[in-house]
Amino acid sequence: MITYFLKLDEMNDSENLITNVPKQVFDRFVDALVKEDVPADVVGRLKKTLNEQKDISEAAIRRSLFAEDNTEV
Amino acid sequence: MILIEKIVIEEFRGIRNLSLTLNGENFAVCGPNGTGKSGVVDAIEFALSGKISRLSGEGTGDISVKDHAPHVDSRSDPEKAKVTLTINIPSLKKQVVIERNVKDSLAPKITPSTPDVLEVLQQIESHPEFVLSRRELIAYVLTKPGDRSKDVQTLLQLDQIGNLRSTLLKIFNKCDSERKTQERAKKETGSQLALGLEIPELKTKNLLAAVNIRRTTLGLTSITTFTNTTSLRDGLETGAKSTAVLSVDKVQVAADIKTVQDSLLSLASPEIVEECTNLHAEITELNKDPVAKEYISRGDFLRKAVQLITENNCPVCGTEWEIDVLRPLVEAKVERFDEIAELRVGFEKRLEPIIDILESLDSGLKKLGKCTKVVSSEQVIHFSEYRKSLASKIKSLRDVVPFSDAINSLCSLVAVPSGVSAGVEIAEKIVGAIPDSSQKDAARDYLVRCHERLKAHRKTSREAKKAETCTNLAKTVYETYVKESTSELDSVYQDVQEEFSEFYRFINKDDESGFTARLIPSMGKLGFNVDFYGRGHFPPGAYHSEGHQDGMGLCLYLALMKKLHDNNFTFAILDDVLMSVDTKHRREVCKLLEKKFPDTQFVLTTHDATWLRHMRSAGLIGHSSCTHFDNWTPEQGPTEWHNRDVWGEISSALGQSDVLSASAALRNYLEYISQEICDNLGAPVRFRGDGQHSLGDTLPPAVGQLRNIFSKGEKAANSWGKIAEAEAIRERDKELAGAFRVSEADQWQVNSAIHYNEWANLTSADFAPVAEAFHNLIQKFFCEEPKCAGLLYLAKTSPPDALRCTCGAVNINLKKLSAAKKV
Repeated sequence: MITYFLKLDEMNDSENLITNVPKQVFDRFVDALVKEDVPADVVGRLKKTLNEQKDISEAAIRRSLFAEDNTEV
Repeated sequence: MILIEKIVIEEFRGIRNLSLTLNGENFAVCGPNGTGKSGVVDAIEFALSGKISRLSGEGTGDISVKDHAPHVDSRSDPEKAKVTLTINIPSLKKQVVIERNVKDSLAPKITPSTPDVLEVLQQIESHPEFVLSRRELIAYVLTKPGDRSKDVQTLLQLDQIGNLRSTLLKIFNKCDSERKTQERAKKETGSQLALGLEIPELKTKNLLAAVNIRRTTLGLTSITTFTNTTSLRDGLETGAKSTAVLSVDKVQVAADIKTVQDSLLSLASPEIVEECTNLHAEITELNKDPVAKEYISRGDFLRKAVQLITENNCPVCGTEWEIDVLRPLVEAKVERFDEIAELRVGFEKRLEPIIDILESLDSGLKKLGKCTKVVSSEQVIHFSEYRKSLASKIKSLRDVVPFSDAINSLCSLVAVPSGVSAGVEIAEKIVGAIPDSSQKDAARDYLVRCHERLKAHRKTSREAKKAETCTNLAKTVYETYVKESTSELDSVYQDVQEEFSEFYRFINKDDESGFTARLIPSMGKLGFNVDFYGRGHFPPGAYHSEGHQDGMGLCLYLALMKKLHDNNFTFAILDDVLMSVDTKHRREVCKLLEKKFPDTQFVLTTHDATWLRHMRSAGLIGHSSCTHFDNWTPEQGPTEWHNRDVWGEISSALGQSDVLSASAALRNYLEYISQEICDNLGAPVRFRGDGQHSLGDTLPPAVGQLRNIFSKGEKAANSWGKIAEAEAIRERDKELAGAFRVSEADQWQVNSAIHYNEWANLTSADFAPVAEAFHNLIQKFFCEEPKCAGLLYLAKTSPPDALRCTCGAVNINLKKLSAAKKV
């Protein structure tokens, strides 16, 4: 629901005022992947998908993991 | 988060026009049930989010904001139903005005509407938990672990965490399934290659030995190093094929026939027949369960549906359902679905070797069918039809569902059409009769055939390797996520648990100072056990009283909010919570809110005037930080004493010769304000068990108490040598005594009923002086400064050392010099 007609590009980088537990979990997860020797490009894509695009759909995560389009593995 | 400065409500819910000034401080709305308190809560929620949870929650049926948020008499004009909220955003140091009407509820007017302001408002809109009603409060405490987990997760917005976990698991499962398929393909091409090479085991050493024999026969150099690009036919003339190859590759066809025959034998083996019989029986039994049929068609749908059942109707068709009935019904089905899904995975595993045999048979028949030199067109048709049936069986067994298809396939698995068996037999005879090719031709055919199979095997190996890599990655990622998210959530729950216990101990320090609690997360559930006087940990509803449970609900809510907002937890509405908490603990609750959340603005509603007094006396709310609704009518909405111009109303009624209305307004107001005065001044009032004090019980003691205070103040001023101050106080006392005498308020003690009736029988001209006399008397209890106009109150020291008003214009010291010196 767009109540305030806020465009994403209008948002500044002001401090997030509400603790975002999912973000904390995602950040911790991405950091842990590095220690698990997951390739850096995969970690980078995953980080972008979760934290910037905020997309946790199956298609988006698959793209992050396997650098694929929409093809099956 | 925000602080509320002011709210103006027009034609909204039960309110016609109401303006409240909160000044960013705690504020209470008090009034009996049905006087419009919740309308204020609805208005704040509506202004901030465009929603009213009371109109969209459980039991609301066809009620909607659009149709039912406007005042009942303004239904046709939703634009008039408007809330204007002035808020302060401390983090931005900005004051913002939000104006939202019901007609354009999604397009509020926000001033200023800068991106930083909009971002804060958007966060609030996505966190509707700033409103807490008793129903929600109890839901945190008295609920099933699964439901609590959902409620707490909703509050902490943890849904995404669970959703990502499901997504990663889904990806891993799909990858693993793909890996198995590719592995089977690799195994198949590997065995075909080994068969073609005529070696028992597919090892490089065996392969090179077999290939180099043929290469030597053809005068080609031996291959010494085998890599993933090595060509077995290296050196052979491009397109070179023996005459035998052009007609029939005897070895190849013989190998294909052998594949078919071996597969048919395996299919008819006692082990496979027995396994097919067992699987047939088990799947048939499961298929008798009606839920199993539903699982196939509606499994995923119902899983999604559970999340969508938030109101008293079906999320798909809108049919009315009690949420408490519909949700458990669907959840029970989903639980059964999960059990069926587990059985299905077991079946899939057991069916794998059978599917391998069927695929091998299909592959052999496919190749054999292409060899028209040894298979007649009639046999090709037999093979083709049988292969269609095989493909269908393979699919039904791989999918397992619909169960009926798998059952049918298992039924007819061993039966091989006679045309197929005969065709294979004839092909074997024809191939046997074909003369062997020359040694060189055979060698050439061998190399060509094996190289083609090697290429096929390399391709499937690559695919299998890729699928394995993907599976390993998906597995690592999933397992890492499970580990990290569980650990993070454990830490969140640990924090909440500790904070909750501390808050609860704070309000129950008299008898539960050793209280502890345990939040136990496990697989989508959140167990919650609390200590009961050191006897062990039990569910909150097991032994604790309702009052204690209310307290727990509030403490858990506060702990969750603190976790979620930390220092930005600046605002919350507590809508008639803590109804059953006893007097002593209410005071502790007030202290908890005041001490532990000094930077949070609480808007509290209560129907209990005593509870309001507790809030005041505990210092949770200031003396002018409340409104008291006394009555409600559809025409007028709530009438509030504190901000109401009762004297203007009386004057207006008298102007219309309506003495009855004027006298009723005066009577009601005097009863209300006298109790407030007694509370503020600590006047000694005769105890009444039912709490129903008449004006005669309260007004004379109120006057007497203020006169006592003035007397003390005068003595204290004299002791300090402040003669002018003493004189001013004496003057106030005289005025008070005079006003009291004129009002004849003391006569109320004799017979209030007669007094009321006498009033109603007066003319306007006769009643006007009565009203004026009481107006004059009551004004003596207020600060005279127009900006303040607050009730005088005793300072909260023991004993009280001053009489004050909110603005400080009245500040009468009650402590004598001698007492001060002692201190």
